[in-house]
Amino acid sequence: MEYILYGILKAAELIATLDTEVFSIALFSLQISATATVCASLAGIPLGFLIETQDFWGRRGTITLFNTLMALPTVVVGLLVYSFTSRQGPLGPLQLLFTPKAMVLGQFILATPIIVALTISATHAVDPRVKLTAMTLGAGRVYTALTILAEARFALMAAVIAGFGRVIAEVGCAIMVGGNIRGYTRTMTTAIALETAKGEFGFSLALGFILLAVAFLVNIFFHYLQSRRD
Amino acid sequence: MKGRGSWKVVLLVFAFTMVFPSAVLAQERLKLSTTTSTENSGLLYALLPPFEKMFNLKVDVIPVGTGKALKLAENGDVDITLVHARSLEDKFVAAGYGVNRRDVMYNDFVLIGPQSDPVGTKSAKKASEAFRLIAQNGATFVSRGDKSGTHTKELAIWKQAGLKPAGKWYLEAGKGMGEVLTMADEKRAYTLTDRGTYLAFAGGKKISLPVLFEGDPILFNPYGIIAVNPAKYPHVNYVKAIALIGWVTSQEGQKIIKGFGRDKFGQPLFRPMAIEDPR
Amino acid sequence: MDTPQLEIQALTKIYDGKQVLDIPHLVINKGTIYGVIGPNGAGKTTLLSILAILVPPTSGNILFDGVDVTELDQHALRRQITLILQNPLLFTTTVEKNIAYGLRVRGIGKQERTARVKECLRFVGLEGFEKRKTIGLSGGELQRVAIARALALNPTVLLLDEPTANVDRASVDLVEQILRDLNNSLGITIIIASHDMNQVYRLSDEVVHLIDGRLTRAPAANLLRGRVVSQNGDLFLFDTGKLRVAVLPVKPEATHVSIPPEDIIVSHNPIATSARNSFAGKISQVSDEGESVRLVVDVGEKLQVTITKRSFAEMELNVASPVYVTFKSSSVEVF
Repeated sequence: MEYILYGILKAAELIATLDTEVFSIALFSLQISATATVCASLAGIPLGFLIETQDFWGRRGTITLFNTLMALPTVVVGLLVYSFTSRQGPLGPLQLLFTPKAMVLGQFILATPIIVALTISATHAVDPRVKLTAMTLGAGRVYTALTILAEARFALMAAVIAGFGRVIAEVGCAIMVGGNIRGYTRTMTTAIALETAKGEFGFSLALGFILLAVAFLVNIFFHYLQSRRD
Repeated sequence: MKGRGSWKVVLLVFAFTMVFPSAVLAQERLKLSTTTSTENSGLLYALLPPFEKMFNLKVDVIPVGTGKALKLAENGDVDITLVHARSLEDKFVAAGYGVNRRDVMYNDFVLIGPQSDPVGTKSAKKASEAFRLIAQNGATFVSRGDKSGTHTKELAIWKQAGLKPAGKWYLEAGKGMGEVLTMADEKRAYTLTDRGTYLAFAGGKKISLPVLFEGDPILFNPYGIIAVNPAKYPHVNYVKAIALIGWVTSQEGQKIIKGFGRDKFGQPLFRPMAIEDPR
Repeated sequence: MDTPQLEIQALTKIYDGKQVLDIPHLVINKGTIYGVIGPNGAGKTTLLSILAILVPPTSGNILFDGVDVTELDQHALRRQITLILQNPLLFTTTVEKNIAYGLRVRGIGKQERTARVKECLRFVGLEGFEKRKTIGLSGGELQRVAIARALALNPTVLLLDEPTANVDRASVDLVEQILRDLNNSLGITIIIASHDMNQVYRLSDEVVHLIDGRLTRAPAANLLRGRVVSQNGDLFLFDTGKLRVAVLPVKPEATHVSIPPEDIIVSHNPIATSARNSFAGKISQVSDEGESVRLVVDVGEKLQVTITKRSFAEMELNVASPVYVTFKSSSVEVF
């Protein structure tokens, strides 16, 4: 009991004094996850839109596939990226392993299925008359597509937030492909894993609180957006 | 829509500052795999910076288990490795994966346990004897159980005692040293640990088990540094790896090792091996 | 004669093997208000969609200002011929963003857009509505915004499918007046499709009736709904529920009949003729049509009859006069 209290006090101290190491780790986590989420959105939203609006052989199967990929275990993705970026792997020469780039790649793979799947449902939920109305007003294909996406904007924002939420809190992939290098590839989650193993509860708790705060804010925002869409 | 419009702009700006700047300084990097206990001791963060400054590069320290550290080196995913598992190191070099192995330092393992020492390990003459006392009395013992250097050492001692540890008293944690210490502390159990991690924990008041047995030569834990063989992996940064080996075995390097931990724990965590008495 | 605004030639449309439109020829003149009356399912929406160049016909041509539309740019054409859907959809944003949509598509600058939006809102009587959110607008406001949105494109032709179907009663007059104004002051050709016969007749310069995808002789007055109840050689009976009309042999799925008012003979007593249809009734309405007189005779169903002014005077007819109406089964148009 005593050491938990000690941990909480230490955590409060680290946060209040804006401890450099704690906050640089926090910032790094946000950067990695934000970058991965942005890339996943740039890829996932158009992809999801096309899957929903175009008819093609195997469409139903593709939708099911993305729904399944949403639940990919992070360590599996970590293993996948590791094997690809390792010297032995096809991307070896790019020297991505144990760098932030590899972490962004892994989190990109984790976030994209979520964004694709939620974009599909968001697009599906848009009133079918939107497309016709845009056409009557002279919009071409691209403008019509943008109009449909605009109508779905709250649901799409929620999709992006969901993707971010998934990756900011993951550790399995980040630790495997990043290597948990101090000052270089250590995120909040991987640092917590390491520091807890070292028994550094104060440090871990500080990071834990910040992570919770981020998750909390993300969740609030997510629910706010969900309520706007209805 | 004005209110909501500016809100979106703020969000966008925030997002962009968050986006990882790809223009990261393209600095030369040397990848070193090592064990978690080595990384945890903090020695490397005292030993490496002068080297990094001298050679204007960054050393990426990747802390994993001993087996994985060597595996990374075997795969050519790192340039150099620092571990403490002599038999595995020898196999590694013999198989042609590593070159230029040098002894760097050693620390020792100690047996810790409950203050009361119910089975009387304090009076043992050898480590194997202490272990026999524990097994015969069925006193709780926490093992690393993860094929790490510590685990390998522990198994060697059991072997010397002619015993195969099994039973409800023998807990195989499958975790790192720190976690095992925490577990042992919780259960008031015996465990084998390296002195470095022990001092860090005890000094930091994370555990309260005292050292009960030490000093038997079998408990010495030497560290070796090995460069990955450039003949096998031409891409490795061999030149800088050799430079690092040179550094850690140099006068200044060994001196840093000798003095590390003194101010924090009252005693040094490691003893230099390359140069016995560096100046 | 002026080139017609829109001309349809030999148009057919088939959906899933079923023919929904069959129109050999239709002309819509510039600056007119054109009305298409028809029951639900008659093909009004399909016709409007084809005229608005949203849906291609299965066969046939459409000429816009004398030019075949397939030779023109579809997007540009859609801005000139704008369709307002039945139950129009407004984008979930502000009123002004909706109205400016078509302008944005064309890349029109902000200043011009703002001015145009203001102008269009003024035209439909919704000044100051720029920043209103579209959620929460009444049916009438919604329809007017939809009209303003179409208007912003400066269309040459405006098509409206059931323009007041979702409009609150108080605003129906308002919307109808706006349509008249669009036609009068801006010269926009307007085509309305509706099942509300009174509305269509109220507003339109010219009216056509559309039943089962085909145009009938306009105006199809005396349109009665019912079904074929007996088929006996060359005598078929069509029952409207209130009246049994003898008709020539027709397909048994017929749902409507129409009796041209000018083919109905009015008399004080039953006439001895070969005409199979003869009913007794009372005059319920009389209206002066200039050269002729239009009567409404209630024989169970209310039938419109047209007679000359002279006949009217000679027979000394008036409201409530008991009369007989007679017409041949061959005069009856069946659909």
